[in-house]
Amino acid sequence: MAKKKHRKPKRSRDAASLTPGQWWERAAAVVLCCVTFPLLWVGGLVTTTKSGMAVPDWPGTYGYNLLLYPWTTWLAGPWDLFIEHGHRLLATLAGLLTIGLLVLVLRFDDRRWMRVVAAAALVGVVLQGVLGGLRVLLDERLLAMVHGSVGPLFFALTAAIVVWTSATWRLARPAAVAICLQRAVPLGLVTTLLVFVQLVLGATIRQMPVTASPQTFAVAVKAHLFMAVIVAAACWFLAMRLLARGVPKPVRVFGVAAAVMVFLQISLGVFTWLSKYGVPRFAVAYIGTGDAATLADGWWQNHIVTAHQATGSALLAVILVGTLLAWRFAPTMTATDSATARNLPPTGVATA
Amino acid sequence: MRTDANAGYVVLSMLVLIASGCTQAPPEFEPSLLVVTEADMVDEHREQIQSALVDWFGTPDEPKAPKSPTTFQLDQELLAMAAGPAGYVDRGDGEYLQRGLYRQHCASCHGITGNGMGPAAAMLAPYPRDFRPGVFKFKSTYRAAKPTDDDVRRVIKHGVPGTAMPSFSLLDDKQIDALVEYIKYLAIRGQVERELVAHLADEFDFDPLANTTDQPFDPDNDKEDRELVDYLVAKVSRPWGYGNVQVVQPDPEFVPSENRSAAEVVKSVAAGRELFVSTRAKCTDCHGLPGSAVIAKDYDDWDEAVVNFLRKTDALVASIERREQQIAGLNEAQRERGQQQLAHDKRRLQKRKQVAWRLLEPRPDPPRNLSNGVFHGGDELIDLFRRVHQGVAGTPMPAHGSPRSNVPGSLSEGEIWQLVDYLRSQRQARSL
Ligand code: HEC
Ligand code: HEC
Repeated sequence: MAKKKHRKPKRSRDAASLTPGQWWERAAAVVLCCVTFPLLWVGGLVTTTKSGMAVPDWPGTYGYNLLLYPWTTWLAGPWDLFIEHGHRLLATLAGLLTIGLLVLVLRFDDRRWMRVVAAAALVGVVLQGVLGGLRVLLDERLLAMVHGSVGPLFFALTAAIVVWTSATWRLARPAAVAICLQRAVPLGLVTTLLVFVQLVLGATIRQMPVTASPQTFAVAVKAHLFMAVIVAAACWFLAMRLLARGVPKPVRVFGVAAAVMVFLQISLGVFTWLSKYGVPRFAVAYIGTGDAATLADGWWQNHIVTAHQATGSALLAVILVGTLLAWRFAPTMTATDSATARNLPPTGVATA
Repeated sequence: MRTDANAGYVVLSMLVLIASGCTQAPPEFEPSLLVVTEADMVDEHREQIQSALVDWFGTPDEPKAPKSPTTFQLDQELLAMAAGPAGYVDRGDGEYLQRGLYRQHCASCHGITGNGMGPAAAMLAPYPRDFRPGVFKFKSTYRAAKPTDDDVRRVIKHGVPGTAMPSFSLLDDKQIDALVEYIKYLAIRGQVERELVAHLADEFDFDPLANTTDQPFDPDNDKEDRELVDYLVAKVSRPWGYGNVQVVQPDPEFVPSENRSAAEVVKSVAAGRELFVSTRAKCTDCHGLPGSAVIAKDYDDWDEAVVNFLRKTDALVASIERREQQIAGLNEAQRERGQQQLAHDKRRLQKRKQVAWRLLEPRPDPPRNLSNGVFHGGDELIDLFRRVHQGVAGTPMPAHGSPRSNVPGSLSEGEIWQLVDYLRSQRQARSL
């Protein structure tokens, strides 16, 4: 028995240190975040397969039209239904969860700014839904682009809420040794911005109207490639700072995640090009061309392209959260320190 | 919460404004800039040609199958399936009709007009096909003939391996039929435009210096002009009806039998190799000796046109500079005429420069790397036979068989089959 006492408590830090109300608040935030990611993914799939464009009415007889959508040769009909309706069902679910989250925050969270954040999340998700609907009804590229760019922002916000409602955040003590975290914060903010700009550039390429000139598209692609280099470098330096000696574990996790995700994202970008346009001529000498032409709207093509888009959003969230945590754990933050102290839940102190 | 709600309304109304404010006008067919500029026509004729094309061919949203007095006729229903914005239209009885296949699947590369200038074009090599000259590379017919429907269908279904042209094998047969029809439509429309431009530039009176004409082109009211368009439409469409009789059929006498012995194949491959490097077939002039690099020096017809356009533009620049220097030494009367001509040429140069900026940068068409490349036009024996026989239309790859039935070519069919065996052996050596 005595031995057991020295073991770390088995229950998670959260469960141990949050009040039941805060625990529920956090649970709602986690579920919301977990629902939003597939929502983005499926949304991307709708764009990729151009299913959204193929159905002119919204919401109405959506299902009825779908039956006529002749994709029977491609993955069986039900999968299509799954994409089309899945996006809207998930969106509805995300909306409801955001309402639930707001209620819980208003009820249990004593941080004023947190209430504003939760309210903003609700406004955001409603707007995003309306944007999606308008996009279908008006078939407007600009709306599609805005819809496609607000999505990742909302996802990043839900990820931030998960962190803000966590015990890690509430109980964080600046790590005196991790001086480098101070310098990580501005870099992190810049990187977040860069990643977002890159997402918007990506959305521009994806939503480029067919009447655009080849020169416009080429500029967009080159800008996207150029930014890829910049973003990769920024992510790399940020990861180095988040992984420096003395940095607390929660921050380190995001340092690793940033490095891994940016690598994954660049690979997906390369495969997106290959799966859509084949091997560029300059590369043929090294890797040759495949024996067959690329398959338009094939399973691999659709999923690689969608994964590239979704991973972009995930990268944005990772960088943002990493930056927030860096700020939280950076030394010499006396003002916030005292603010946190006031918010500490009674049970939290014991386990921290 | 109240302020949030208010803010929400503001943003919402803004969105609706944005949405209603920039709903795009339906896309239009673009005039063939290069052809029109090269012809140095007056603006009035340019516009009249475009409006005649709308009368005969309709718009990208509402295409018309032009009536042609020949037996060849495009299918209006299939065209409608391929045209317009992507999606479906309600037929009224609860049935939905497919629309917009071309815009959904092809326009991003081939462009709304089929001019090969879709947004993605500049980033691809080779460039997407410009359908307007009506020339196709991978087909079963004689070099100068149109492809058959099956040829176009095959390209759409299987794509062009080794290029960005993807396979659309996931579309159903009806959809592919619609796309085939639409490609023919774009090609015919493009060629009629060229013919009209050429005809007006040659036969109509106009004063390019003053940019005026006393002979408007007015098919709406002028019977002769109307007949001219009908005649050109018939002339351009007719060959599309001949595709099937223009297919290159190998002489059964020379077709290698399926149960040749291995020794026979080896012998044929050796003979093919001999031919390949021979000065008679000249294959190595472009494709290089087996295992060595290919020599890319020539352009295909599409890029060649651009190269010529740019060359002429440069020549015009030089000529303007030269004349500007000379003009001081001229007498009064000459100077005035010279100055007028200079002013006109400067306007012309201005136009040419604007056009040049929008064209895709010409790039030489590299001969296929036969030892490690993939065949773009299919790798069945019969595909390769036809490729060597008729070359690749629109590219430097020359025909080696007879140009028409009953006319001897530079190589006999027996020799072509030997080359085919050799090409296949190269390909197999690679995949082993
Ligand atoms: C990703 C870009 C891309 C898309 C999308 C695309 N094409 Fe192409 N297409 C090309 C390229 C590149 C070529 C030129 C290949 C060559 O020159 O070897 C081409 C060539 C062609 C040709 C000419 C083949 C020949 O024998 O000369 C046809 C016909 C064609 N495409 C039809 C279509 C149709 C129909 C669609 C839509 C269903 C489509 N393409 C979509 C890139 C594309
Ligand atoms: C004047 C230069 C030239 C000569 C001579 C020439 N070729 Fe080609 N060849 C080309 C070019 C250019 C292409 C690529 C055409 C394209 O797809 O744009 C080509 C393509 C090919 C292809 C590929 C067809 C496909 O489906 O991908 C084969 C096979 C071929 N040539 C065989 C030969 C043989 C055999 C000879 C000699 C009898 C020969 N060529 C002579 C220029 C040449």
